[in-house]
Amino acid sequence: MTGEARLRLRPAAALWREVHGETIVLQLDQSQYLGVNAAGTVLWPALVAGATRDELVGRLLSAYAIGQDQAALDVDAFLLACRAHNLLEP
Amino acid sequence: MTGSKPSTPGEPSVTRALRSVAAHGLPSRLGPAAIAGPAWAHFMAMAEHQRLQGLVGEAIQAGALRVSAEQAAQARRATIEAARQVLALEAVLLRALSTLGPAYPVRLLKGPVLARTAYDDVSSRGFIDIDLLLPSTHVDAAVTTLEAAGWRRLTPQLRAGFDRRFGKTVCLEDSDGLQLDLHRTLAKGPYGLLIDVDSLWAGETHVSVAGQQIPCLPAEHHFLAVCYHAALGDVPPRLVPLRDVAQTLLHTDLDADRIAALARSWRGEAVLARALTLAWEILELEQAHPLVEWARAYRPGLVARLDLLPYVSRWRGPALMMLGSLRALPETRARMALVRAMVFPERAFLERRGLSRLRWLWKPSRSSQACVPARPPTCEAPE
Repeated sequence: MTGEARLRLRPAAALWREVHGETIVLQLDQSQYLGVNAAGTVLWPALVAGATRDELVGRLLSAYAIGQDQAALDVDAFLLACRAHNLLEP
Repeated sequence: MTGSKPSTPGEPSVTRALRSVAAHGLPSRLGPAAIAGPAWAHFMAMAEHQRLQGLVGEAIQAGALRVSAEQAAQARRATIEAARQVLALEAVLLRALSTLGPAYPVRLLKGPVLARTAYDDVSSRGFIDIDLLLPSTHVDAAVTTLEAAGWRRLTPQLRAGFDRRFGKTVCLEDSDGLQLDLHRTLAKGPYGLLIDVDSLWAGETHVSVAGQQIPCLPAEHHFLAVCYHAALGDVPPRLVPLRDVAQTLLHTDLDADRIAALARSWRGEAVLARALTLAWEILELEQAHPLVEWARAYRPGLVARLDLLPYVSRWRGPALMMLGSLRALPETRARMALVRAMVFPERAFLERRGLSRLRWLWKPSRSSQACVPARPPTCEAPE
């Protein structure tokens, strides 16, 4: 995953609501509920609008007292999970 | 909100707390509320009945509803459950639109629209069904199309042709029991018949659901639809529709003159005035608005009082609704068709409801669970 490519949620992939700092997602292809935790909820609006990996890492760094490497790992893991659920644009 | 205010004399603490939650975030004289342990279960049941789970969660987080940690956790679970239901319903909406296809013009009404256009947080406004408006000419075919796709009609038609000529709503549910209401007009009875339904199709706005642009009514039409639901829907009125009235008026860009003109053209000034005064009284709102001032000064004439009667009378029911509807229909043939349908409904309709013909006509409407200060004779103690 390069830091420059824009990553975006597929608009038709899911419905969601943010509740108490977490996001409940209904993945529409599978009719499957997914829970996005507080850290994922920090990234979620950026993915809806479209963001680069570096921007996502930056958001996580702004929200949590973690190092750059940890933030990058966390973002990659989150993106992997999103891809596994077919939530992201190709 | 400022300081805490005691309940209206005789008002149960649960009712007071529900009103406070319903007004949370609005400029209201109702202050923070607290729920004592034994009343908590009743409060949560009523909050669900009133579809207030989203606002309950927000009020707790903001300190406007004082609860224990355990109660906060329960409320959180209820909010999450309500959010899951809302998502499932929005999926129902997308499926219904896909089934109907472009041949059916639609306008999305109520919950999903209000959540996206009037409320700051889309999660604040929950809902328990999907409401779609269709042209009268398309209602029967839409029902057939959806039934063919596996939807089940909840109640048979009163008589053939009733839905498209006089009906307000056809209720369907999917295999999971999720409800889709197809509306022809915005109210049952006389006020529904007085609405120029063609005017509902004169323009459109849109909300985005999963990337799809779903057509809705123009803002002023939608506001009046919200008022009709609040003023004519339940007795006593539910709190969320009243909140919708205030929320939409105070938080969206509306043309008050256009609203007033539209209400006049639908002979619905009394409905508009009732919705506004109920919202401002029950939620104890402080913010002034020209339309609210107008509503407070409005005095319905005899015709308007008669039009309102089928909705607010303690004797409200099919018979009174029929009599009111006759006054709203200009043509004798239409009146005769309405009387025939109401007095001689099809057997399947009566059987489904478990009613005899006489019992059907004189069956009083059920009151909703009271969540407003007791105002005899329309309020009942919670069941």
